[in-house]
Amino acid sequence: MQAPDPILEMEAVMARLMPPALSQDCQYELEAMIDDLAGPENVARISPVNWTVRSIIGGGIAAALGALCAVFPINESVPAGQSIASVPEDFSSGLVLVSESDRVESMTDEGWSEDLYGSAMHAVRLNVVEESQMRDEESGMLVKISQPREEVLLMPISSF
Amino acid sequence: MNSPASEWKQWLAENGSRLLLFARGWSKSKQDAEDLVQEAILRMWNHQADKGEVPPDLPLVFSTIRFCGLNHYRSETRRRKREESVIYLNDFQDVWLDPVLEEDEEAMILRDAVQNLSQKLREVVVMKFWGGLTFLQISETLAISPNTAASRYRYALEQLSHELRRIKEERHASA
Repeated sequence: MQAPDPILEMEAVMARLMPPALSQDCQYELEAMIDDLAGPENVARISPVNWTVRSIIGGGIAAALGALCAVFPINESVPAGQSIASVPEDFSSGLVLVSESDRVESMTDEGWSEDLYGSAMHAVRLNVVEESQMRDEESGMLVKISQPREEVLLMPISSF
Repeated sequence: MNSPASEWKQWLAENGSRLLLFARGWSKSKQDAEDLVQEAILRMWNHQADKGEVPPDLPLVFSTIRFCGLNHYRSETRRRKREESVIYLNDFQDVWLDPVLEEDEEAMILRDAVQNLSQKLREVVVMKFWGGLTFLQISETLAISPNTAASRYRYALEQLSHELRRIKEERHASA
C-alpha cells in the first residue's frame, strides 16, 4: 500500500482553517471609500477612449443646430405696426411689441446626463439672448430689451 | 453592465478575507491589517483608473499589500527606535485564521504553527493555499523563481506537519 502524500495530508488539515472575514466596520469603510472614489452613481461615466465618439456626437449636434437655425431662423420678426395679440393688453401704456428674437450666443457640450426618469440623455448648455423691440406709440421711440438666459437642452440618446 | 463601484464591491466580497489574511502577516493586529488592505485598495483604484476601472488581478494586490506592509514596517521600526521607553504589546487574542468547525483542536494547533512560520515561508503558504495563487503568480509577486516558491511551500508544509505531530505527541504523553 502506498504511503499517503504528507503534503496532501497537511493540506487536508489546512482546509479546516479559513481566513477571517473583514470586520463590518472595515467592510463599510471600504465600500464607502469605493463609492467616494467612483463618484455619484447618477452621473453617466464616459471612459477616456470614448472622447472621439463624444466629440463626433457633440460636433454633429452643433452642426445640426446650426443648420436648423439657418433653415428656420429663430429670429421671429413681426412686421412694424403689427403686434402679437396678447401683447397690447400688457402694454396699455402705449408700448407696442415690434419684434422678438432668441439668439444662441454660445453652446457647450455637457456630455451625458440623465433626465428625471433616469434615461440617458445628451446635454448641451446654451447661452441664449432674448431680445424684444418695443415702440412707444406716442413718441415713436424704439426700445430694445435684451435678456440673457442659460438653458440645458437634453436630447435622448437612441444609439451608441 | 455593472458600474465600477459595484464591480469592485463584488470583487472585495470575494477576495477581502484572502487579502486580510495576507495583510495580517505584515501587521501587529487585525485592525492594522484592515488598514493595510484599505491602503492597498486605494492604491489599486488609482492604478486601475486608466485601465477601464476594473478590479485588479489578485497577485498585483498581494504585491501592493506587501509593499505597503514593508513601508509600514520601516516607519514603525524608526518610530520604535525614537520611542524606546514605550512598551509594545501584541494582541494575542487576535488570531489569523478561524477553524471551520468550532473546537477543532488540531486545526487550532495548526493555526498557531502557521503564525509561527518564518515570514518567507508563511507568505508562500498564505498566497498558495488560502489566496489561490499559482506558483508562477507567487513568484511574480515575491520576485523569486517559481521553483523557489514551490520549494518554500513544500518545506513550509513539512515544517507544519512536523510541528503538528510533535505537539500531538507531547499532549498524548502528558495525558
